[in-house]
Amino acid sequence: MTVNVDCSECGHQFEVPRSLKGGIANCPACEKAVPVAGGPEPLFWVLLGGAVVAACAISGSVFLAAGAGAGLVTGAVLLAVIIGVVLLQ
Amino acid sequence: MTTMQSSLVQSEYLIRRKVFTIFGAKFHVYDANENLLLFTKQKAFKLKEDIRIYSDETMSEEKLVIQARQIIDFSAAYDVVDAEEGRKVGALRRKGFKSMFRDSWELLGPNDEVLGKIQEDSMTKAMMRRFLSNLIPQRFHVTSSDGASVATYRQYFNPFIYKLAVQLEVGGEDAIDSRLVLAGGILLAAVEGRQKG
Repeated sequence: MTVNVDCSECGHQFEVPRSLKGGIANCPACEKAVPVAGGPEPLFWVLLGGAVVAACAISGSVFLAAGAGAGLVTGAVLLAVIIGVVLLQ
Repeated sequence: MTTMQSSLVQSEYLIRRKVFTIFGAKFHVYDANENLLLFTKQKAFKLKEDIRIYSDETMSEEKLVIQARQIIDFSAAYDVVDAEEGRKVGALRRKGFKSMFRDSWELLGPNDEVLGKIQEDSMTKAMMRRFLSNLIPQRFHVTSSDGASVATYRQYFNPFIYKLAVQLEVGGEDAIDSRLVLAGGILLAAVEGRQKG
């Protein structure tokens, strides 16, 4: 299985092994390192979903134990952290 | 063919990582005479590793780039690019399952052909480090795919500063690019160090 790459330096089109998806390959024409397009990362989205569910569960517990205000603040802080981590990628 | 940068063709390196940094980590790479050759700063909270290695702390001259292919990958692969040449020199792939018990990496060529491997010294010591005490310094051997010894990584015992000595064998660079061996050392300090806190 191969992946097609369009060289961002010289425009040459070439194929690389599928294992290089999301990585870097040398263009056979200009010999420069060019990025290989990556595919979707299901594990990342599963973990992200899990983190959101955990954040909701934690803020829900705080909501029940300490009141609405504390629960909402906890939820907002946890979601802000998750969004921050995603934006840093 | 371009001449390889002198800072990347040494036979001995010392990689030093500061343990007590609040966010991220800083790495200094020295030669045998303790002259600073390279510097890198690992960004905190970055799931997809992108390590840029510079000639010094001013971070104005990029030398090497180590970039992960995926955000989350059990057997993560990292491409290594010589920033001055603008060419990929190869890649390193962590053997996820095997590394749970004994750290194991594959050294790959530009098209993912296996050139050699990096392996923790012994299974017994590896298990002791994982389950008894991580105070036992790590040692790794780099061998080419034909079994020849290429280099050794040796961690110094120091609870405050992580120090890893990289020693390339004479003629080792003929089997595996020295830049790839150096990148392997930096990755061991960065990735394995992150896992062990």
